[in-house]
Amino acid sequence: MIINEMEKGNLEIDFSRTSAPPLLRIENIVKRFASTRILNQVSLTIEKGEFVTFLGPSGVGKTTALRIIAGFEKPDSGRVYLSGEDVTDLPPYRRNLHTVFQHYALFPHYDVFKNVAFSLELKKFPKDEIRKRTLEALELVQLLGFERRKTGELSGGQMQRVALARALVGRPALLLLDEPMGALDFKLRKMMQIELKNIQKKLGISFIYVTHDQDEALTMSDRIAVFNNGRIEQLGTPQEIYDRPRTAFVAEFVGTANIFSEKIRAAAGLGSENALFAARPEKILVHKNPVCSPQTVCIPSIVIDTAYAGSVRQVFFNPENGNGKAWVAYAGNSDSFSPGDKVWAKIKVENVISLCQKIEVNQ
Amino acid sequence: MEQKRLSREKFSSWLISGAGNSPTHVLLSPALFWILFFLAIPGIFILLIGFTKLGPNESWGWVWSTENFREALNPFYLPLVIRTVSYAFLTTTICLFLGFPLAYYISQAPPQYRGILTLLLMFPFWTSVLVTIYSWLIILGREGLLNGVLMRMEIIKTPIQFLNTPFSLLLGLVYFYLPFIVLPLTASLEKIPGSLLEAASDLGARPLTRFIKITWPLARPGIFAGCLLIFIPALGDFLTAEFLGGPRTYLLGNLIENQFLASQNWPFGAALTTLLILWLSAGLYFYNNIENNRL
Repeated sequence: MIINEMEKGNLEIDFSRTSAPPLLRIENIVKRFASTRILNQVSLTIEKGEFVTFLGPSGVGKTTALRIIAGFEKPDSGRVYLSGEDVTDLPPYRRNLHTVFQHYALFPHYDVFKNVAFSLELKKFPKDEIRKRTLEALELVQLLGFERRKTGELSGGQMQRVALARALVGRPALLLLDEPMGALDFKLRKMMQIELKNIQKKLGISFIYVTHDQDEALTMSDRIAVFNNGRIEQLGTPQEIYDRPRTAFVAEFVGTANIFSEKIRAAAGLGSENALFAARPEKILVHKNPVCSPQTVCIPSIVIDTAYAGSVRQVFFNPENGNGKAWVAYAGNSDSFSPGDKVWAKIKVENVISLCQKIEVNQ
Repeated sequence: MEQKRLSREKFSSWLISGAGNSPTHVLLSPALFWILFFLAIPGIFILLIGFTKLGPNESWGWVWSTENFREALNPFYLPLVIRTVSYAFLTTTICLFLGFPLAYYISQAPPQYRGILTLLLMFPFWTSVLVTIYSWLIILGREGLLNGVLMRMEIIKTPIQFLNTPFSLLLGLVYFYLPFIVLPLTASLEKIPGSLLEAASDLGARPLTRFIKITWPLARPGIFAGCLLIFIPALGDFLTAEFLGGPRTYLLGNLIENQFLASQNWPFGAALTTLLILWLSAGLYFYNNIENNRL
């Protein structure tokens, strides 16, 4: 077919575009509300089938970024491309993506079936096709048999599944999820996380998932974008984010981090002046005797408190030359420490994380 | 159905059981007295008067009679009833179409402006009805403001008869009743979460589709309440019709008013009033049933 067209000379091939464009590309997005910059030069590329999480505390712009991608907000500058097409100025109903809203936003005057079938009915699919695909979507979220239920009769978890089915039924290329599990209890959330990830893998749809829950981000994502102050402070796989955080903010927001004070750094002989270092609690061994060896950092400390945390015992201690902020390490449950004990905190040099003082403006 | 019966039982048991010590009743008692003295008792009087009869020499004899009701159902009055219902219906429809965009606009305004906008809407109520009617007379009169402007602009050569026409009556009715639909509609529209509208757009609904499929159905309670608030008083209106209407716009309200004032035929007026209330209640009852079955 294509060759025929080429022979007739009707087909022009654009050689500048060698590979398919990425599913989503946002470029230098800036968004201000009043005079504050909610988003400051955010750029990001997402490939087909990727699960990307926007992680950060509230008010750092991650939801705004999502809303700009969905088309609910217009950026002050910057562009949004979907599969290579510039959609920055397109309204939401003309973008090939759907959103799962934080509070589900189910239509209260429709039953479950009509909620899920909404987008299909708008596209004027034949009746039996709508029925088939709606039931498929409900089966996917394990809600078969709930078609005639009213939305008011559903539990939080069920509403969440309906919202998911409603967004998936149209088979969008990209699904945006705005803290979809915020209102669910802990156990249900854990279950839904696994289910959601399975659905995403099964359908091969790209997900952008907004959350402030670092556990959620670490378990589900292919890549995590950590947001802070309207910028993506670090973008990488969960392992990269956790093992090699680039800034103190990322280190402290994802997991727990013990940040070295300047005096500790100098005493340990690490890096140059004012370089920033940190260590994860599980990489610190707390000993009652000085057992320092080469290739380790050894910091004399005083135990402040301990706390039983199930699988481990958390030990809080004040490192010598610290800035007053307590450090935490994980010890075995059988180890006994009491407040006031003099201990040594031992960290292998390769486990010391080197942080940037300040992130560069453009990454 | 079952549920309805249950709630009715609950209501009656609440009425009976709470009579002694429930604080609800203490708090409600002024309202209950109000309803009793200003609604129930006058209503019963009207009903009773409807069954009496004017004696000889126009004196008032307490003679039991159904004559007034038979007279009120005389087909002679049918055109009047149809005309009244038509005006009420037209007024309601026009108010709905004018009021909806207005209510939508207010409901979408930033919260700090909504109060001011609602206040502006209530502005006409700050003046006496008679004063506003007289100002309409000044605007619409033969040598009034509107004719003056149109003639000055040389759009017309001779003044147009605005006053005492169906046009002026409708204008007056719409003017008076518009706020009654805007207020409940605004409340209804405000209650629709913005995320529902966003979800509809997100799922592919264009603005018009979104309005038909989401906004309108969810605003129905407000639309219904507003339409009722207009339709019922418009059916009984006589003041607007008397001043802004003409001989061709004699309404049911005027007929009733005349029985009580000009012709001093209270029994007939009372019968007309009773029938009007009965029709309205029946209509409301049926509409309510339909509405309940829909949901």
